[in-house]
Amino acid sequence: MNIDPWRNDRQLIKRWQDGDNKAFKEIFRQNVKKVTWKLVQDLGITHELAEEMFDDSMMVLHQKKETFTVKGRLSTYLYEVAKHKSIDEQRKPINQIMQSFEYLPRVVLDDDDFGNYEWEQEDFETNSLIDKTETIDIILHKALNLIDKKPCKEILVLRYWNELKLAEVAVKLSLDYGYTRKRAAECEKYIKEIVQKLKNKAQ
Amino acid sequence: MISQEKDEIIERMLFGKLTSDDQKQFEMWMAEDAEFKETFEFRKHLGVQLRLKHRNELKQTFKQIREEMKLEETIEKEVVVLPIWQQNWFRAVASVVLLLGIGFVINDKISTYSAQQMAMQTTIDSLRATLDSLSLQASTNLARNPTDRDYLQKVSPKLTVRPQSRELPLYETNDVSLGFGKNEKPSNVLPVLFIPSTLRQYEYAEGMDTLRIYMAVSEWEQDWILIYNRPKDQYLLSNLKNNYGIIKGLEGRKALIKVNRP
Repeated sequence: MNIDPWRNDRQLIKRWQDGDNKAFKEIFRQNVKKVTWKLVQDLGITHELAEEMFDDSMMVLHQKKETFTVKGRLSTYLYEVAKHKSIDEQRKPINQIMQSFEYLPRVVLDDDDFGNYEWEQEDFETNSLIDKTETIDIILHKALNLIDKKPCKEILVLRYWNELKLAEVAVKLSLDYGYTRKRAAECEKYIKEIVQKLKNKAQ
Repeated sequence: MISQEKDEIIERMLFGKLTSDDQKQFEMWMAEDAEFKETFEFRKHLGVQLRLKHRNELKQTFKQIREEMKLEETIEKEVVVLPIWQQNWFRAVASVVLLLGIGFVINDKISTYSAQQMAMQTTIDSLRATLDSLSLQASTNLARNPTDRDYLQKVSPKLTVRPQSRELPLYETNDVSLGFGKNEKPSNVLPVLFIPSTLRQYEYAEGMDTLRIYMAVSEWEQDWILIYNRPKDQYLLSNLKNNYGIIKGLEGRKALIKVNRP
């Protein structure tokens, strides 16, 4: 009997957390077929839907990159996440589904479309970032592609994608908390400047 | 720059970790502090857009991996190994050997005629040279990668046999129950080779650690998958029409049995 039954999974996760992105691809490849077919068989859903659910579970794993620990087979974890996501979606009343869509931007443009978007004068009448959410979302989306300052990108990803507290971000980047907080504020200022430049350019 | 306390409340609000006291404080600042409100709204939208950007990038990565996997499967299906007697170089070498044999017999019989003997010797020498050249070519071809598609197409444009092999994980256990989830039996991975044949059969080979399943070529063209039947706690080899259950045991019987559709 194998003493460490999840050794392969553990090693893959360790490699990925140490910065080897190929390990994440390997996790995908090793589990996609097994989990997808299990979802098809257990839930009676289409293969396409099962693939989408598997993708969602891989995204959850990606979000938990910094804190994830192997406590069982990865395939079992991915299957359970996908299954629960599916059940949650089925249970969710329609009004809740609509609410969740409201939180997302209604218009997302590709980089190529950005310059072709027909800006209206009223989009720029206010300096506040609160009111014109649709416009702000479009500009922010574009601005995020332009960020190249270090460690701005890392701070943003760790805070908003990996959902780490600022104190945890500081530990992860081996920085002092106060310094990280200052850099995070500078980073926000920097994004606001890009947003402003993009607004001016569009005008 | 807003205070650390306000920073932390925004952080807790964005990640859904607000306490009831925090909630009151948050609402108060949202109503009274314009800078706080703007910072919160900005971070909320920043977070949404960043997650959206990341999701799109990951979706692209997943799509790319799937395409790579599909391509690998296609290449695997196109891997061809011809039986030796169907390969052109083998036919040529065999013909030359046959001609040489005939040449030697004739040589013996006409040994009294020196002029004819000399002519025959010349023929034999030239045949030997051809044989050496063909042997060299054959050994060179053998040394090449058998999956080299250009080479295979060159030697045989019409492919009659399509051996393929795939490896699927099976779990070696000392009881027939394979389990699932926390109870899943994690142990050695047993490679399963699928080899086309005119008969459907199976055997264990190579020290009982390889299960070989032989299938007819026409059957192999179908998409076989390995599925897990949870109520029966059993793995099935299936093409969604026929299912073959794989019952295994470290000490006990290993078998491939036909079962009903789950």
